Amino acid sequence: MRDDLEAAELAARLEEHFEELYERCMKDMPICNPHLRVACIGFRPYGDFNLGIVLTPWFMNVCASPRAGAPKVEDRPGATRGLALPTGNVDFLATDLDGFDRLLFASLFSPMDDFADHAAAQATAEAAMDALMKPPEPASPPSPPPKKEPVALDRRAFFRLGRRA
Amino acid sequence: MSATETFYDVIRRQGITRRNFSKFCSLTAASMGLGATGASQVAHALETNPRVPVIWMHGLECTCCSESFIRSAHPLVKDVVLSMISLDYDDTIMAAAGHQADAILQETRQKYKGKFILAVEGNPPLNEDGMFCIDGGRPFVEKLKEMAADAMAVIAWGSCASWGCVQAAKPNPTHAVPIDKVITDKPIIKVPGCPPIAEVMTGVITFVNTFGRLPELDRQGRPLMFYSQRIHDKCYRRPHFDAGQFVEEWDDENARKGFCLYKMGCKGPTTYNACSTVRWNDGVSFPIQSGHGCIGCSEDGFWDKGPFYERLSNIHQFGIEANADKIGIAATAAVVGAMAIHAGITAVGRLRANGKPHDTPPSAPQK
Repeated sequence: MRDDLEAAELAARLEEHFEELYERCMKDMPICNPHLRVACIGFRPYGDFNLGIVLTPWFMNVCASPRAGAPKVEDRPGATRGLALPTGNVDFLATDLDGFDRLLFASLFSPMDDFADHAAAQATAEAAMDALMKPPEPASPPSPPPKKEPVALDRRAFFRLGRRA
Repeated sequence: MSATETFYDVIRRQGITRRNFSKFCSLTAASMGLGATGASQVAHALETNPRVPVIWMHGLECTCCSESFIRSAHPLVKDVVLSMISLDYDDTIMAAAGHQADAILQETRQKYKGKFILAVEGNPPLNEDGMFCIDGGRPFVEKLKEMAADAMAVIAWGSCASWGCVQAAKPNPTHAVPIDKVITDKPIIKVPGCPPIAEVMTGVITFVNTFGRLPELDRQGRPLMFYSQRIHDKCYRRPHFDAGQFVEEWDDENARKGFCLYKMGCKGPTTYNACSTVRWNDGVSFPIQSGHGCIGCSEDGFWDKGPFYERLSNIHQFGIEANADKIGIAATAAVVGAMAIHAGITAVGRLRANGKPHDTPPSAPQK
């Protein structure tokens, strides 16, 4: 329970941070989608990290932030760091935000122009979070092994005196 | 040269060692994202499959694609792949000239009918019956159609062949068109970029040689393995974008700190290419790393999309396979809700496809 609280607290702090950032310096930029709000979705502990999705008017990222007591992110900002999630290996970028320990972001969407409203973006984020937390479904059944070329009499058959297995 | 010669036979004859061949296979398999077993898969195919000849033609272009290609990072890559190409036809780097060169073109076409790859750099101009680009005494467009008719598949190198690029920019006096306007009955792999990244070019050719089929393409005909993500998605300056830290003026304090170049006109947020992951010159750098915004050279019509240094304000692109322009819930909740779910799952799939296992780098097969 305490773990969940930690994740919820992180989500709240991130929301506050990006809301302030939006008002202060992103608001008038054409890259922002004014129909969206800042929201943190699905934050939960996973391994050494608190994992969730950060939705803002200018990006939607998967966020992984080290939990209390877990090793800090040592990669320099902008460096790529891979994490094994239930869905598979995902590349993150080490990111510094004012007032936070270094955390990891992986971009899902940016720019956000094609979301018509906040509800759609929120639903997309929830679906993405579900997809992250479960193994991928196999895309298609494995193709059958290629058929052997028919030959009149192969060596094996020859030694069986022509009897086919 | 027998018709059943393999690619491996060719490079061994040129004195390339087994060890170097293995290195090439693992390098290329890694760049194609084939995973741990990819290298041996590539090696096996190149040793056993008959070599696929490549004919490389040049229309209206600047040769930057060829320049990029012959500077592939691994010194062997160019040796290996050039063995595949120079044996047949590339009018810029082949030794033959004039009638002799034309004879090679016709010979390959007849000998490998329906089995060769036609790689096209540049595009054909259509005005005045194609008189603005004459190749061997004939309009290039005629030769192009003729060769394409007997090719297995066509590769459109660079933005010229893929979209038209600068010679098709307004007002386009020669009426230059991308090659898919004149070749309509063959599969075309578009490898845009001005020029495309060398590793992407060798990757595409090797894929076709290895698997005997085209790589998976997006709706615009680009190979998904290299063009499924935007520069912006994997840019090392992306954390600054997320954190609202931008360069405001060239050479200001923020520029020195390496902040995001969006306000200086960077087109990374709308450009699909592998520059921010594969990078250039043996992975040394890419435009944004050297302090300049992306100009979006691999996007359709980039010359006519406004000045390079003007901030992106009109973004009508989407990285997911949505069926409508907008994903909205308010309109028709059930249908569009399903679209949002699809969008979310697709985005995660894209992340996964590009995530590499970090503790197990691909290794060369041991022989």
